Amino acid sequence: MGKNQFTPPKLATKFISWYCKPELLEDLLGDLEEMYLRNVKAKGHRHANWIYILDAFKFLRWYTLKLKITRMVSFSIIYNYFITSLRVMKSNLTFTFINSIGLAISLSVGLLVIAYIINLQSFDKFHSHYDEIYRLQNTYIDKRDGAQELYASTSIKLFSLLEDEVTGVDKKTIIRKGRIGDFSTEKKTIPLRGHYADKGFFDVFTFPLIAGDPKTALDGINKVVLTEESAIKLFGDTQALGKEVVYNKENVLTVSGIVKDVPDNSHFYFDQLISFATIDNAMKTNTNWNKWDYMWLNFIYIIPEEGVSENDIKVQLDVISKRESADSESSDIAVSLLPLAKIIPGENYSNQLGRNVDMMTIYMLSVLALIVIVSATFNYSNLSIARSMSRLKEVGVRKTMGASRNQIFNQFIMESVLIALISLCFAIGLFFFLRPYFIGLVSNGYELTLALDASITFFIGLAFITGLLGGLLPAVYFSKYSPQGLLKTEGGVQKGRMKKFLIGVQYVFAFSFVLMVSILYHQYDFSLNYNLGYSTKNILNIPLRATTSSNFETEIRRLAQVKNTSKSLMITSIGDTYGSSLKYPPGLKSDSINVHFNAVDDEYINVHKHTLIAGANFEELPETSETQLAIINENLSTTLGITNPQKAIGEEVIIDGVSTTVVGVATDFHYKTLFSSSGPFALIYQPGAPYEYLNVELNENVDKVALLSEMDAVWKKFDQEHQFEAYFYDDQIKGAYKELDVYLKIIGYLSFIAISISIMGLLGMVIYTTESKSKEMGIRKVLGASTGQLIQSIGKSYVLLMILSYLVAGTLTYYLVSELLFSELAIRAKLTPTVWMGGALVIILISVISIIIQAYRVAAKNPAVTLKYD
Amino acid sequence: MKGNTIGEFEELVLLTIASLTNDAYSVAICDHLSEYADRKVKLGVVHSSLNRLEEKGLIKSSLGEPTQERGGRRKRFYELTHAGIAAVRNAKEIRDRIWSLIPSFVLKG
Repeated sequence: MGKNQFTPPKLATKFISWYCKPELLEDLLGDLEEMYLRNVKAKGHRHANWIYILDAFKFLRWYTLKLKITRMVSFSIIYNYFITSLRVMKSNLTFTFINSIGLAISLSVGLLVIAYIINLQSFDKFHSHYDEIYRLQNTYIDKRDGAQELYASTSIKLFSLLEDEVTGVDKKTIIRKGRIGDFSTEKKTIPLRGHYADKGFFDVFTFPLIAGDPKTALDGINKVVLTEESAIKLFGDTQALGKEVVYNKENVLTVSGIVKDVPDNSHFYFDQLISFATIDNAMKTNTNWNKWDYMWLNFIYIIPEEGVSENDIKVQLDVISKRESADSESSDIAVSLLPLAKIIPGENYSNQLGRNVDMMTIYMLSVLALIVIVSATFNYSNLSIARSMSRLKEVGVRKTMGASRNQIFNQFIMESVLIALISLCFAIGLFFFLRPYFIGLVSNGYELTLALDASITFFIGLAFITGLLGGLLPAVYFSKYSPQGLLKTEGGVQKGRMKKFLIGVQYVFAFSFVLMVSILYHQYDFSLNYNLGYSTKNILNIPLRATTSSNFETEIRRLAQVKNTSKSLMITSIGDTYGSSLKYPPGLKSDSINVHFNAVDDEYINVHKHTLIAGANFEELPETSETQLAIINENLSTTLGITNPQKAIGEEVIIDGVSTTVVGVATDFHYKTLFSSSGPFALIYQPGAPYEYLNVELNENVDKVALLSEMDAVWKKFDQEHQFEAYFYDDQIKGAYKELDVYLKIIGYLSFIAISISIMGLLGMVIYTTESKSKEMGIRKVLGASTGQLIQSIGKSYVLLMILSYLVAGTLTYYLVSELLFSELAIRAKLTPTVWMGGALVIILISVISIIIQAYRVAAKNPAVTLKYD
Repeated sequence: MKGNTIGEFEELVLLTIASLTNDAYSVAICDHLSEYADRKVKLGVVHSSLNRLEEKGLIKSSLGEPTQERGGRRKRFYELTHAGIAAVRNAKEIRDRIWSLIPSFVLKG
């Protein structure tokens, strides 16, 4: 056989043979097979299989179809279904209305999620080679404890190794993450965000230049490319090519290009790009710069040559990673490739260049939306069947007139699809209403559009499927009866178990949502009030600029409401950590450990009320002092092998190459968020440190507005270029748990929907049961049963059902929360009985009340009325 | 008017059939069009166009001999009918007529 070892997928061939006219079949199959073999050669047989299967569907056209007559008939039948459905809906307006509103509310959730996913899918697709671009990124494995962490970043060294040792790379570029920097012309200074990028940047990415040469714009030192917007901000127009700007008051840069503004759907953002050679040149003397494990802020993107696969490059990178990591005693770093499209949405890598959307969030949102929609379709099914009394007769008559089972089936499906499509109209209205709130919730510094036009086909598809699902059960139910049975038995047919099961499932959903909200709220509340081991109360943090004068602190201190001030490099417990390596005893290489630190001043301990178990607070050092002091936490002291904290006082440790004297040991405090556990930590005091924040301790009950405006006035004395910023520490901590807050709001909304839907469903069911039992109750009453007993007899089974659903929901939620939602959470709140009972009680209460009211209406009726007509 | 006028793509298909003489079957027509008409042409589009042209009576078709390469399946070869030949001629004449009305300086350079 040799050449012809590949044959087209058999099923697709069969499918074509099934629908195609025999006179066209032979040459059509021949043509397709010819194309298939050609595709096998050009694109590989898997790809060719796909094309073949797609073609099988594409050739499904009127002129290739075998049966022309059935088509005509089915059209008129569908038209008939349509008309009948409209009539039915019209004659039951209330029912139609309740169903459409219920479906619309839950569909709107689905629409939001779909639009969100489609929006995310569009990320980075504007690059003309988007499907060929890969990011090289590091996996960092701690050799001592084996802990593994995925990073989006990599080392600068890798970039030079890529040049020298890796074959098959067509284009490549390196970006070093930058910060906001000040850009000045003679007239003004403005802060701009941006990065350092090397000359390959415009080869790899498609950011069109409106001025300048993409080949040379970032080649060489002291060059900067501005976006259109920032050029206009700085120079007033985009005629800036060749002009000079001053960066951070020291470097003079030449504008070498003007680039179109970065699209909203790019995974990273910039106002300006400085040529990578500029920073490379300035940092060359730093011995760390070209090290294999200097990997925190650099990002490499490549395009492989044509015909070179991801794996070809990976194999070479593996060899390099192995060789380079062999020298290090602390870490094992492996480089891998990630396709550009998998950055957003993608995994949650550390140190992203730009923004990141976790796949997990998307899965969760989809599942939640699905649950709500399924719940609503159950309701539809239930209510349709509950109305069977009136419908069964209609069906019976139709069957007697000769309608087949299929036709009845189709009729009901058509009806529910129509209702779903009507709901879609409401849902789209709701979608527009909810969209801004939803964007506010999920966008994490993104510009999301959630445009309708991109997703409308999916919307209609969703409504269609929802309609099909909702109609399936009633369709099966109604179509299976024989006409005699239907017309004879006054609609007494009951399907109690199935309906109860569906209601039960709805209740499981509703309970689960409520429990989740309750647990999340509890955890959120717990996180905000968690005792971190130091005080964050009444502390205002003011970000300092490199240019902020030290007199600013002195003046702030003089304000009446200010108790004390301190300075620090970073703010702990809100998600950021600064790491360094520590050696002890000095000189012993193998003992270097990773330690987190914060650079602080001598007042920091007082302001934040850390508890010392040994030693004393820092003594104030003169501004020019070279001495470095540290207060370490208990954890670090034990890690160093010092069992008695008192012994740690006066010990010398080397932190990042600088000899440091330990002057105190503090009780352990939680310097990370509660998502992760804390470890060894050092508070380092060195007067020359680059402090980034002023921590201002305030008196209790200050007038915040007045105080902030006073501070603003002080700030303006020293700095007219930058806005005054200040954040209360407690608000910053709140910000760190925004994720929980977002979950809380989304699930809160969903649980509201789920509860309304299931209570509506329950009510419908109770109305149905009580009404169909009204005669039974009349007789019971005549025989001596009291109203109370009757209510009990109706309500009992529903209450049991609810308790059962609650138990299932409880187990389900417990698993979900502990295994998925909180799996990353290091410190969790204890789940008390109140957490488990709170929301659930509300649902049970509402449900029971509605059951009782309805049951009472029937049970209290005079038996003379209910039995009169028999 | 139906049956007399032909669309631009249909005209191209007719011309291609004429130029391929004895080898005009769907895949060849598709290739030929892709090559000479400077556009990506899908087989399905050609197929439905051929079907329409045959319905209009501008082309006729017949099955060829079975060959090894297509799993033993025969090809369907197309040729122009008299009506088809008239239709392309007509289309060309219309164009020529209009071209001749354009003053020479208008489309210069």
